[in-house]
Amino acid sequence: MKVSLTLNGQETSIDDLSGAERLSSVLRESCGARDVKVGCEAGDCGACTVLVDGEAMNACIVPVAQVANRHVETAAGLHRNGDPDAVRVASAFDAGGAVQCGICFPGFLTSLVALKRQQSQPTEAEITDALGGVLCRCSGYRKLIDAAVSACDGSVPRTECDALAGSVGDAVARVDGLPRITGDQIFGDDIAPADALRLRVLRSPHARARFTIGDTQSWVSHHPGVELVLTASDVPGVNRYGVLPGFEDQPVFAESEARFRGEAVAAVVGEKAVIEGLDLNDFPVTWEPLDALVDMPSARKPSADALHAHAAENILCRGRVEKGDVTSALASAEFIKRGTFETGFVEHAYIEPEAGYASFDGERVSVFGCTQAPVMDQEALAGILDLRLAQLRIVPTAVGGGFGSKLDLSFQPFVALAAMRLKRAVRMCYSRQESMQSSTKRHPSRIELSIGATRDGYLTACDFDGEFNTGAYASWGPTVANRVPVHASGPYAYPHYRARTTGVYTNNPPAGAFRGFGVPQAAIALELLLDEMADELGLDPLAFRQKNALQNNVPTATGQCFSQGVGISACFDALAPHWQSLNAEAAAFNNESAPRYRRGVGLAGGWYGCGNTSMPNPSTIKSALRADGGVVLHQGAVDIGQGSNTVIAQIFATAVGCSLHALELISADTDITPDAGKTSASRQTFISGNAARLSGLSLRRELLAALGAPDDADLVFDPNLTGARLGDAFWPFDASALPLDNAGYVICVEESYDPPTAPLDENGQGEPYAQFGYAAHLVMLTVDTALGTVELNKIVAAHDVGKAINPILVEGQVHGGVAQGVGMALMEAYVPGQSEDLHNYLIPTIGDVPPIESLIVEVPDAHGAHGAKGLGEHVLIPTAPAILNGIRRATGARLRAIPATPDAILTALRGDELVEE
Amino acid sequence: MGYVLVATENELQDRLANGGCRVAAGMTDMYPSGQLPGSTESVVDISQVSSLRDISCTDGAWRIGTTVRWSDVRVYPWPAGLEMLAEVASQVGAVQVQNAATVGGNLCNASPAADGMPVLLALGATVELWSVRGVREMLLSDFITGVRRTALEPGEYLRAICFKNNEDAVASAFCKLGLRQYLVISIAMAAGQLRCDSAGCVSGISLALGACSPVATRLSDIEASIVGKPVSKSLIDEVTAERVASVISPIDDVRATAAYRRDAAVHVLRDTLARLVEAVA
Repeated sequence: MKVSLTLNGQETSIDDLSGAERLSSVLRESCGARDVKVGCEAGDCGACTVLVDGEAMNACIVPVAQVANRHVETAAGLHRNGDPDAVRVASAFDAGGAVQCGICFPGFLTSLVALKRQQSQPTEAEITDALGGVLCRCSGYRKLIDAAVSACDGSVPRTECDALAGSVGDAVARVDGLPRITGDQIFGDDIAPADALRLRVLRSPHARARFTIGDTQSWVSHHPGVELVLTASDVPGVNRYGVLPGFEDQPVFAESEARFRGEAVAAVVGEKAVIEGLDLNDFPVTWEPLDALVDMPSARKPSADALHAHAAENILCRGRVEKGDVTSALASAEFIKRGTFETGFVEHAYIEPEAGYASFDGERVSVFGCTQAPVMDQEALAGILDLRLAQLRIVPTAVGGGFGSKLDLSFQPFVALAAMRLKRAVRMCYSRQESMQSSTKRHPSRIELSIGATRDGYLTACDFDGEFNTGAYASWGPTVANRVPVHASGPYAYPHYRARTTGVYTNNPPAGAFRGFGVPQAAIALELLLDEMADELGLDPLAFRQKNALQNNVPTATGQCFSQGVGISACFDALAPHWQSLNAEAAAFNNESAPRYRRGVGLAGGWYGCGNTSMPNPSTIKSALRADGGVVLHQGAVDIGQGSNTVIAQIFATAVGCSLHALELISADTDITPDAGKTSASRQTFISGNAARLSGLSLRRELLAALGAPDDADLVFDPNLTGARLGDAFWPFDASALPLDNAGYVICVEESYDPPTAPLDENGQGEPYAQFGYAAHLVMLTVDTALGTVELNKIVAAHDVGKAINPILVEGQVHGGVAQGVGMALMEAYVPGQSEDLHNYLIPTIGDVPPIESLIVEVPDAHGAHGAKGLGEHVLIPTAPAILNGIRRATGARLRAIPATPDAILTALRGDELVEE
Repeated sequence: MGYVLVATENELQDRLANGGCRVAAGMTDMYPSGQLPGSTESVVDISQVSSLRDISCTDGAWRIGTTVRWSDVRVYPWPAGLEMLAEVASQVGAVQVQNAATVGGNLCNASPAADGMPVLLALGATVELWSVRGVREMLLSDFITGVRRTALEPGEYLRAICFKNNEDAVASAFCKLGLRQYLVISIAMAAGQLRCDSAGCVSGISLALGACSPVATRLSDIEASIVGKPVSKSLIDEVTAERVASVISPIDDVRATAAYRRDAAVHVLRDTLARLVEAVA
């Protein structure tokens, strides 16, 4: 059938439709409206929201036939057409720092426009109701709510932020905010050429199964339009990859046994309509299901089969940090607390599924798509495809949320291999289900912890033993096993310390990097026990933590002694007045309200080392001057929504001495940007920021030298370089005097920064990180003791960031991390086969994140650019334990596992579970 | 197989007379299965049939057309005693879902957690079914026969949901318990309507629970124990765990355990009743 509609004011007709096609798909693929972003194809996330005759609809579940002869409006269309509501809202979102990755923002923009048209002055409650159908995983929603309220009451604080030069410390709007809000930003599934073939992956329906693949040639001959089938035997290089040297254990395609539900065994490639319409149930594969090792206890039974021949007892690796004599110290401790804690799989649940495409020109493969680690992708693909590095080009698109999972390969080897074989562009986008089935997760953990203290509240010993379930493949399991022992102490001092970790293989999706690499799990155990210990010792929980907080010149668990920059006490100090006032407020509430509702305030601290653990971790940043005097920043760090495109550019502009707005920004492309490392480990502001600063200083030096000006002269930009000035003297810029290089630059520099660390010895002693960042959160909450539900009333988050390069982006990181902590604490549980969609896997909605007060603490670090410390992972660590402590302080319920669902809270209230103490 | 969008009931009836097709409108449950509607069974899309999309009231007899969307229900100016319809409508998914999902679809999909069920059960609703054999009416409680099962016969479709609203109905309430604020499937939910006489005594009450049994259910023992009593907070004591347990049969699932649901059902029902009493006081 033919469907005619008015799309963003233009009459449009689409032919050859059945009518049942998803409106989102038709808008994106037939009408070119790639601003309609797709996150779930099930009406669960709202990213694809469009207006149909003015009403907000999930375009992914609207059959295109339903919009015949109707008006459809999309986010970018509304904005482009100058819709006054859309323009005002987008501007408020941008100036208010509401957006992060932006994959969901077209949904928010359209939803808010729909509300504004019905109601010119909506209340905050009406705004949240109107936006409740759009999930955001990055922002924590609070800035979005504030910006929406300001857009609706007309007070957009736009001019203030636009007047800023974008120097270090300026709360400037992000350099790429607006396209992220309107949907004009190009994400992984938005970039493939129109004639690209489609690829679909066939995955194991079993957690463990032997399989044989039959006659694929015959199958292809019965499925006209299928151009290629790929299996393990088609991998030209090594059918094994991994993110860490020595731990490459994951095949692109399983070879004879699938080790987790969702593991790839084959791929099919062909034209869009053919591939999308295929019923893969008749694909020639025979499954022989085997008993799966579904959890760590079953995997560690002596009789258990080995998942991998190389891993005896299914142990991936172990980690250990030890100092002093923890056994004797605990034996003689005046006071001991012990606890056993369990956490499950947590899904990253970014709204953008893994997507991209590859092309092949006969010599080189180019891969475009979402990734957190372009150079790691390049290296891994070289091994898989048996190519030289120079034969691979990786061009990251915008990333619609990553949080660690898009460090690992996903779609890349499939499309790259298919493109090589077919010499055609090949594209794929993971379905929500395959994204959730096969992408990495947060490691489930089982932690036994004992802490000892003196009667007067000084910690004497900490003994931590943690098992971490790495699923079927190593991924970042070794990193978790190494990071956790360094961090399990929390930001506290102990004379005696031992932390041991074991990574365990099971028949589950691989657990990998997820904001904090195991540290959030460890923090739950420690901060819950500390809180209980404080109560039992009769000490104020904040004072108890302060008493034991690390200070300058006090050794950490690894014996590292920082002479400066230790900021945990400053974080606790910042919280102190809030701790007092919120506790008073909670006590007053409890006096006045029915006993069913109990209010409490919970507290937790945290710390996190920035960059790789005791390993080289350099970033390199290139910058240049064009002949017309324009300054160019080649910035290979991938902005996954956290804002590195802006922060790194702010540091660079400040070093050069120009405005942020004058820069030409060139983002990651392995052909033209040097390696700025992966976006992980809270390293981009710290490490790439430092490299950007060095690059800026170097460029400034070279410019002054070329101008013949002295080192202390100021460069003059208008907005491009016009010369240098010192007092009355002026040295004009004359490009003709300078040679032009191939890239069109007259001056080009490249600088690197690698943080100083030292290896850990056999006891895990040493200097694993050049800097740590510090954090402390408090949460006021109310528990309904009849239903076990928790209402979060307020969160106060103090973060020592050394120096806030961009305060509004700092707050954005804090809000987003808090929201993920809220989800982890209260609702998120990934269970293979049960919660493989955003319908059953619940993440916080706009109604689930309370007001957040962000306290920016600045204890400068000698190694950070302008004193800045990393922040990206710190923001998640204290939230969950603060919530669990709040629940206990409100009700007495001692939780030993997450999520603290109403069910679990009632059980804990009855005290059914706790027997170990 | 195939998908067809019909414009009129006549067209729909012709399609049904030919047999072998499934009726759908809002599609909010069809697409998530991963297959496009029409790819595995023939689908007739009735979302644009205007005669099925009215809310009307004649002499206290209400009729909600099958493709009335939850957003239509949300904004409708319901009289006293029917406020819970707007309340439940605002808690179906979120705005986008309410703009697509229909009342009839919510019932025909027959999910144990269908938000509309307890409210419409509490109203004593009936359903009007059409087939070439004629029109029949049956109680909603008879229409939903199990998990994902209804009394719809081949060639039959749900045309409207009907109920009477007694003029003395003074209050209604709906309480939904889920793990988050929006876009959430209930762990348990309750709906109730209260009528009282001039002496301040309960002249009629209806209470229903959803998501705690294969099919949402009325609490007739509790209702019977309340009728005739003065409206006061002490009515809440009539909601006992035993009485609730006797009519529900909750299951363990990804959202909660059966044991928790048994507890929660009691509290959700008490909260609903408390709101009704408060509204009258």
